[in-house]
Amino acid sequence: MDTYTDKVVLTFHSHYDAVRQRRMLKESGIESVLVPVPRSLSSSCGTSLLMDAASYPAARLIDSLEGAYAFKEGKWSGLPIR
Amino acid sequence: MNNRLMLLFTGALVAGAAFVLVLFGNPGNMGFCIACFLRDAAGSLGLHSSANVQYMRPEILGLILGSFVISLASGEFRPRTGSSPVLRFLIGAGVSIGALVFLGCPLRMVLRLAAGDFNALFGLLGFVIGIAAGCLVLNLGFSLGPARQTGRIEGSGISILTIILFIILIAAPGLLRFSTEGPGSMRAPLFLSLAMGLAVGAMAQKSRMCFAGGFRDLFLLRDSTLITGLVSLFVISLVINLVSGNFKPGFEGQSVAHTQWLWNMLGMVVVGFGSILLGGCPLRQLILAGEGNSDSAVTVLGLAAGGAMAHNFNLASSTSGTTAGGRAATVLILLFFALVSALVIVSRRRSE
Repeated sequence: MDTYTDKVVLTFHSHYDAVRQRRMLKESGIESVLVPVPRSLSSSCGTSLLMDAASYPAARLIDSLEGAYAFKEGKWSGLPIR
Repeated sequence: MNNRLMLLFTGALVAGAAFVLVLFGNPGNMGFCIACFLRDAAGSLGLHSSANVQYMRPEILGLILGSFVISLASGEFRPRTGSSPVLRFLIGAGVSIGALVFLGCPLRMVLRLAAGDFNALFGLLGFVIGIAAGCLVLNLGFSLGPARQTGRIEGSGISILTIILFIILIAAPGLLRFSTEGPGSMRAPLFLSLAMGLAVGAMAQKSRMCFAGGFRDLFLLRDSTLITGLVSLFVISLVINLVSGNFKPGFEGQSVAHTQWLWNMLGMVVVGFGSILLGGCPLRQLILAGEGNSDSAVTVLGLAAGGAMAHNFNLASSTSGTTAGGRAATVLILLFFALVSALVIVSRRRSE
């Protein structure tokens, strides 16, 4: 299964948004990695960003973020986007 | 099931289906060519008048319906629309013309390679170059824009259309055109074709199989999962061809192919570049259309229209080679893709 524990998956409308988000996180010292959208999360096939769940609450997010998801108790659940 | 395993299985399924379909009558090394079959379907509707490439291919109907049914059953049917439909139609038409200059979509390119058709090596080279160009513009900010949610009726539109076409094919074939000679006359039994389409459509939805996406993920994300499908299709087809004596290495005398390497390459540059702009190869567009993505449905219509144009304006190649129109169109389409990419990137940068 392409699920991750203690991670948050961010999804975007375009690859470029994912690249911008990664840059923004890096500027505040948060590491993240570009990965294909996990199949277990969605049947769409774009670029998503994987980051530590602990860093998520304080992270700066781009305006056009599509969604944020965490894998908990055997399923993906959407997180609030600020 | 593990993603990679699913892709391995889908590749093997496509290889098996292609072998069986050719064995039962489909044109050689074609099995499942999306560009060729959408062109045949367009011809069957009278959208072009090349008498030897007209047939309402049940494989195409099956691919869309297979994805439609499985996505409904698994709760993944997601009606969406609004991501530059007109541009998608035009880019889709361009991709189709590029594929018909080469003589095959990415799927058929892999089947040709696995049968020893070395002309397809130039196609592969061009495909990879086109994808690299597409990845470059993605990194520079290219996007056809976000899609929004739409109604279930709109999302089902193209799937309902395929059901209607299938009913016409069975009950009122007089409305359609059927080739009596040439590739369009070479066809596996109707229900076998439909069944293979349904099976591959369902599996491709599950696995997200995509030929362009495989290279894109490799280039942009250093992720080799998606390309597993392409590799699997190639390896299994190669084994099948070697065992069945269908492997005939060389450039000359290949089934529905020509030997003009430059245009084999450039035709597939068009397909690779365009597929990345569209977010997926022609097969993937059929699958997304079945999942309720109206933008992909419009792309499929664009692919079919492009196939019709390729024959109406004598752009499609034949076994004797490319045409002057086809060569000119290939260059113009590449310029069009580059222009669209540049304009989208510039307007996006300005609005930021």
